[in-house]
Amino acid sequence: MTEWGLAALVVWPLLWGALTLVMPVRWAALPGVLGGVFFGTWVLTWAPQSVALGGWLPPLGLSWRLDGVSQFMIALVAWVGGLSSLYAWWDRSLPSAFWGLWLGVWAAMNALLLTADVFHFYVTLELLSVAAVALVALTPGPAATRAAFRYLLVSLTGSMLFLLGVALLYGRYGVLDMLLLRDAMQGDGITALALAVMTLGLMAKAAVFPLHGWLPQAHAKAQTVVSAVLSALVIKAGLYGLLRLWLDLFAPLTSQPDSQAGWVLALLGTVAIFWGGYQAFRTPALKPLVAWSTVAQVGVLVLALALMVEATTRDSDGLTETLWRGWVWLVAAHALAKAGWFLAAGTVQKRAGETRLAGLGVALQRSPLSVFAMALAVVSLAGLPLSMGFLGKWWLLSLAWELQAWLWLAVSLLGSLLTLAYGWRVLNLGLSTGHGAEPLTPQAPLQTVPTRLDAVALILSALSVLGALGGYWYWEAGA
Amino acid sequence: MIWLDLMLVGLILGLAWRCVHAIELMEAVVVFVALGMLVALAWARLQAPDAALAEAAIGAGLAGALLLATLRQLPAQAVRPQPLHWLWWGLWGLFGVTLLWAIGSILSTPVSLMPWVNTHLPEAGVSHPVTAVLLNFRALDTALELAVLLWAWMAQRALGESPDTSFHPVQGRVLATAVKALLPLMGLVAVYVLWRGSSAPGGAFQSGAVLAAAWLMLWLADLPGLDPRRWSVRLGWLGGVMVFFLVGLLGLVQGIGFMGYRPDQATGLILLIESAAALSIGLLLASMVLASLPGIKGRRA
Repeated sequence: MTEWGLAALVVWPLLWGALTLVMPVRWAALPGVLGGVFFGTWVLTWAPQSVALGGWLPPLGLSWRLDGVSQFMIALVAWVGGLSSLYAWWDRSLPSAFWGLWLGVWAAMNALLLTADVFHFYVTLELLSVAAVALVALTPGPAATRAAFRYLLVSLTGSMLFLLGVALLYGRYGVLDMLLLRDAMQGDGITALALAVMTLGLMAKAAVFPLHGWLPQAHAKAQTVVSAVLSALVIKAGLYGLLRLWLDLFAPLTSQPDSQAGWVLALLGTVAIFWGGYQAFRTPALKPLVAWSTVAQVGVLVLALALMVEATTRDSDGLTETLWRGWVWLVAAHALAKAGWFLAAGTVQKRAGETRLAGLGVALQRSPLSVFAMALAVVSLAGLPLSMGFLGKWWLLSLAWELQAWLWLAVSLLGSLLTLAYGWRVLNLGLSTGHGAEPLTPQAPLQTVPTRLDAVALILSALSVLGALGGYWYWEAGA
Repeated sequence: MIWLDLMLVGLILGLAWRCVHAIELMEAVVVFVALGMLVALAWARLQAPDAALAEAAIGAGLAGALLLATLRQLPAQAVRPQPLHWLWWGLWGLFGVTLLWAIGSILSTPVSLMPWVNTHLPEAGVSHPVTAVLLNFRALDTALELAVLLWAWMAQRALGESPDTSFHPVQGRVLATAVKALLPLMGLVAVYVLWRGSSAPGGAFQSGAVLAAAWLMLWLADLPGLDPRRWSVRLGWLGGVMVFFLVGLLGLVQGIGFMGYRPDQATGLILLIESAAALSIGLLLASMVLASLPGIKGRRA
């Protein structure tokens, strides 16, 4: 039965997405989304397993592998994607072409999270990029087109680098299955080169500093719901790839006791935290602020990966339950909070007909639900106590503590402070009574935007805080 | 033969250089098409005729057509290539040398999955190893590649206006008559290439490229063509992906597993998938080129 479910994770959204070309779009989108949420939730009850597609065992065929990481990531895609779809359903300004493209993104994400084959991973990346770039380009106007084109070029270069790495691995070892590759892996130059180019490729897709240049424009110019799913989910595909490469596929290389490669990742993550935070602090408009915050948060996730790699060099257990559970939790907290923040920010911008923070004061004060959503998102992103982000940060800090990596511990604390600083820029406007520096007369009459859009944003942000209640089930009962 | 190979390598590098450094975009596109043909030759020399056919038909032919169609919509412009900083030269040079070294050391220890493929070829339903890998052993790769093509078309539709169908013939009777005479032949070639794919180089992508060319000629001659409002055309776009995945689910029903075939039905099912895929690929590629040509409307000969 679960094999049907696994197939449905990919086939269901893909077929309904394709059907949007021949059916009334919403009639195809509705079953596509509902089924996606259903199968993506059901996946949590299945036992971890491997499936050889078509009955052809690796190395000949390609296989799917469902493990804890992929299970929770698929469920995350389903929930954040499902709630974002609800927003899209009510957002009247969204072109109908969104639905087919978005279901394609969903199917590609699920396929990417399931695959245990490096070449197939590349194929899923390709489908994901085509659909994601088109989603950015849905916004009319030259600015969005330019941003989308830039995203396309970076994303394609990333794919090509990844493919080059796959070719090198196949040339060296003659297999493409991840488990077989890991068992055969030697610490030679070709393998190191493959790791380097594949890492570079995925870093470009995940917007890891210094390859983040495309993200602020692409995520800020996109339609509101597109920004949310790209920032919350699509860049996680690249990060998930990095996790698989560094802690699974290339583990024989990266977990050598004298391996220092992890520190390069840590350094890049650190620079991303500060640079992204600084830019978010000084950018004049709202959605670019949230987009720059994504650059900083990607830095946190990469720093966490680096610490995990370092942990595997200290003891030989490899990717332990504590390690992956912590990382996935951090990813989930970020995805929920960032989706909530982007949806709230987009709603407020729609209401104001304006993007600059300076002109958003009145619209913010007339959108209490959205301001609340943004506040909760900031709380979770900064890791304030009792939120879901707090448990993630706590895990990260205790990992740094165990490794006695004091510098990185300080970095992640400072990152939280920066998050509060740029988050406060927005909240301050929404909460001030008008005696501050910002004038509170509306430049233009406010647009009518239904309140239920604010409500969806609030649900996502609230989940990024209240998710902490699931902590016991996730950390203790599940382990 | 070594001289031929060296000449080919030199020409490919030279054309690639020329393509990047062309001042006129038109020149860059033309050089790109020529480059595609030479790369196809290189594939042929590497004894990969399937890749050579696909590269010639799609890499050089249809990609070239798409680029030319896009170029028509741009205002005439000369690009001024920026000189590259010497640091980048150094970086890329180092990368190139490392890559050459890596490939060189791979060549001394060749390993591949060919022995596995050959062992299981009798159960695959087709006797051509490339088709067996693409349509059977790693069928999901190919199914998702078809989906990539479909989504690329979806992306193009989302961005631009729909293809212009109120087009008038660019030429008179000669073209129309020639097309009428050629079309059955092209159909025959497409079917032959598809059929050959089970035992020799060929298959859905190559056959689809021929079909796409046939549809474009139909359209040029203003014969009944590819009206996207027609249901048959719309269904044709997704037919390949749909049939592929439905057959994949059939494998699940029969207990073979997702994307699997019962060995005695494999030949028929693969042929079914390939036929649907070739039709879809042809329709999608032709629609992509047509949709890039809205400006041509009303230009009479």
